[in-house]
Amino acid sequence: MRKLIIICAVIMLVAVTSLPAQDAQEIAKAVYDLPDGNTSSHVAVLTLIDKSGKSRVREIVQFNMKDGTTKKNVTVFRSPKDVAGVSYLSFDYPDNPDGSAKDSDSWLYLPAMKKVRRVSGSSKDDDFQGTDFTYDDMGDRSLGKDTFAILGEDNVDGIACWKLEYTAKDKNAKISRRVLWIGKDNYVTYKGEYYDKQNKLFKTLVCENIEQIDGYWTTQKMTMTTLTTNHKTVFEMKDIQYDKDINPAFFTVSALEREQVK
Amino acid sequence: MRKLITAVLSVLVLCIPVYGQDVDYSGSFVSQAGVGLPYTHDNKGDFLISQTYFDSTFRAYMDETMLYVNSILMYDALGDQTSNGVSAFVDDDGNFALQLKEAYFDWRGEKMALRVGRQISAWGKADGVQIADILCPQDETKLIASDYKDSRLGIDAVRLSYIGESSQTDFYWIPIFTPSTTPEGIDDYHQPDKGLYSSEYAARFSKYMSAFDFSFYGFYGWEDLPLISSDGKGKYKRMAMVGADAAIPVGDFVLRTEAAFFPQRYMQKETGTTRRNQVKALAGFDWTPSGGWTITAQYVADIVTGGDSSLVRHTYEHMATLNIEKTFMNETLTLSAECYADLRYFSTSTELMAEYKLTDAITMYLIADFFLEGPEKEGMYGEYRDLSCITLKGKYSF
Repeated sequence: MRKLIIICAVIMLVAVTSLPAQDAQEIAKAVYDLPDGNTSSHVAVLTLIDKSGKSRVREIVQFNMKDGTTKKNVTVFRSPKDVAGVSYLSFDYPDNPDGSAKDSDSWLYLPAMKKVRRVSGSSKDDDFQGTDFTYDDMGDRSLGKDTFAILGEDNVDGIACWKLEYTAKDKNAKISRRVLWIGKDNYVTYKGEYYDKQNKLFKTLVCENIEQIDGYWTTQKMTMTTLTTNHKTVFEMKDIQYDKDINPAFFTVSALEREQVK
Repeated sequence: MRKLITAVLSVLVLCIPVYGQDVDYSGSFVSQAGVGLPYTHDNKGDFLISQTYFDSTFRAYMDETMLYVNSILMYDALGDQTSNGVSAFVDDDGNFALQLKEAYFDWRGEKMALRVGRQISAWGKADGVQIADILCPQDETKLIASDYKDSRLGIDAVRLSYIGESSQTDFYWIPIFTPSTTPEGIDDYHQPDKGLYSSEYAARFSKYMSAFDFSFYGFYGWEDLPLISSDGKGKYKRMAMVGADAAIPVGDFVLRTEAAFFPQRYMQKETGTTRRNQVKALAGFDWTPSGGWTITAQYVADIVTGGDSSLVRHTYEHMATLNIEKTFMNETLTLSAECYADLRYFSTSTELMAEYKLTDAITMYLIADFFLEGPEKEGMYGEYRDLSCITLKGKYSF
């Protein structure tokens, strides 16, 4: 009888482990490929809060459009007023065939200068306009920049998640390792931990107000806290629209220069 | 009472046309004062700058059109505003001035666009240096605590554009000539006649690609500064220019280059003028390593053909610029150092600046401008030595 139980247990174990489990790379790709419409737009309010509780607010409007495999996006600052009208156009491309990340094409328009500047599209490790988010955090970080591993499984507010580890290939990257809690059912990120070069916990991410809008999973509130400075940024989205007509001319350098996008 | 009625009518005129439109009103209030540094001889401790100004921008949008008006109301405690674009009013001592920097309407169709009125266009890839950026004249009255980008004056022009997916072609017709302003004023100079035959013309073609951006420029018009004829009178001369530029992103760098050719340009001699071919060219880069650093460096060469010792300039002049900027405390504090060096005499102009955002609306600046002579006590920046000063500036944006 004992033998039978052991055999059954072994058979069940083999059966379970031979199920088509997703590996880390596949999960990361599913997160990257999470549908977000052919076009989308939203207004984002970023509240920067320092350790004394003093807050500063930035409001931006973002438009996104897919053009073949190219993701085009334009960001326009509405506040604070001294940077209102500053706009940023970026074309993001799929990774190179060898798996390495391809630089984005980026242009910046500064109303005070009255001209558009070509800017480097490779450095996305920097903080986005003084917030605790980097340019990479705000967009889709290229899969070619990391290696992946599943650290385990966990629940976040009752949601079953994978703990997925992203390790930067660049040994000099400011953030060497990210651990994200990815929903098993929807591939949405529910929370995250970011580690510095010394593998010390550097930033934490909390995602809230996650729901489907027009059929697309949308995270409407994210809070990123930098532990070393106790500074945090709350990113809240409103006026979210998917698959609505957006003038393709918005995604041109000419539109930036003519202050056409607002 | 008449003033009150005028004011009420002005408000009504401003308000009525914008009914039903998307309207935006923004601007800034700036107050700044600066004193001469200890090595500035008689200027030591004297106020060299003391200005208060209100810069406001009004935009009205309707469908594909935009109305844009930008004006500055200024009070200069040290007096003497210049004419042309900045005209003294209210009192006769020249303390107050109103400047209409830009006022135009803009229409954009599917492929074509039109901009009519007083407008500013910036050409070229250079940063803070004039190579092909000759479309707009400059306010040359401001030297300390000011920026090259703020010195452009509007031109009264019609701009017609053809817009492609990744390119733009602009044609400019500038029927009314606008000269640069100078500290001496321009009243004594003979300006071109105000007539159709005095018009200026310009064109630009720009292409934006993944590997690089480039532009071509053409201009036929007038010199923005007068030349002194052999009879001792200042006159504005005709000039032409063709130019090109490119910006090439390479990793964390953006390489920039720009060149302009001026055929048979009028040049100032010790007595009278002569004509020479002139080439100006620039090579430089922007480097944005992570960590909030921005580093910009440029080399500029300015060559005039044909040796002539009677020219008031050298046939070969060159200079370099370096700008280092670093942000701190979530971009609340920015420190920057900007240096222009004349490589013939090694005279330099250096600006050190600390910029602190007190709140989202208020920014405070501490600016030190140093003009230093070269070893031979000469050079283009050395002559401004006694204007070296330290300035405190506050700005409120709304």
